[in-house]
Amino acid sequence: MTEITASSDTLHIVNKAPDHPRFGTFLRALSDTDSVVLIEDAVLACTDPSLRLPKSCVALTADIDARGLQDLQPAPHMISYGDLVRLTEQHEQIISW
Amino acid sequence: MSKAIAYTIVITGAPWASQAPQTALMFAREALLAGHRIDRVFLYGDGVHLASALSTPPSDETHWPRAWSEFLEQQNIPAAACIASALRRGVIDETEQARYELAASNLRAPFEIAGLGEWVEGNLKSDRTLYFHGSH
Repeated sequence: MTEITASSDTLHIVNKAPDHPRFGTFLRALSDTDSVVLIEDAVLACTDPSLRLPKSCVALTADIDARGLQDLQPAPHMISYGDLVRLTEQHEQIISW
Repeated sequence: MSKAIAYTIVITGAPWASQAPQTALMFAREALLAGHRIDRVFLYGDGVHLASALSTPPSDETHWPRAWSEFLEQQNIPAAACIASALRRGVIDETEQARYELAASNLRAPFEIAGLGEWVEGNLKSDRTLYFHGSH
């Protein structure tokens, strides 16, 4: 598979669990100015500090709750579906991993 | 309020095997609430199972094909399943049933069967094309 290098200001929407190969591909494609939203099984990444996700990384509240992760410490930054819509307004370039 | 945005939504993950139809529906509802538009919904790969009229989940589970068709009809949003993906997976409309002399058709309204041209048009006309993938 070709490595995708995202240009600046890309919104990455990740739904793969951290042990999925594409999670690693996503991490390698990430630039400093990019935004990251973890959805579905990707929210499991909030349980693993060794992944060193960017500080701006956010996770979908509904998927955190569905997996019983609401009491995680440190608490991840959580957003609603409405916030996700706003992020897609703000980014012309969006990659769904 | 910020400028209204037109979305094309592409669903490639199947119902029950993935969360894609659920996440996409939650997103679509919120996008409309925010004053945006959804130009079209396109089902590709395993996502075409969402357009089966024969899916019959247990009554205590969300019926994603029904939830999606109700949403599409209420909001008058056109939706299409990729023809190559659909025929392989046994999602068939009456035209294809006749063409291939099949025993039955099962495409759920308001979904239509369409070529990749629909998807290309979405890429050209919509401001954003958003993908909702499966888990593999």
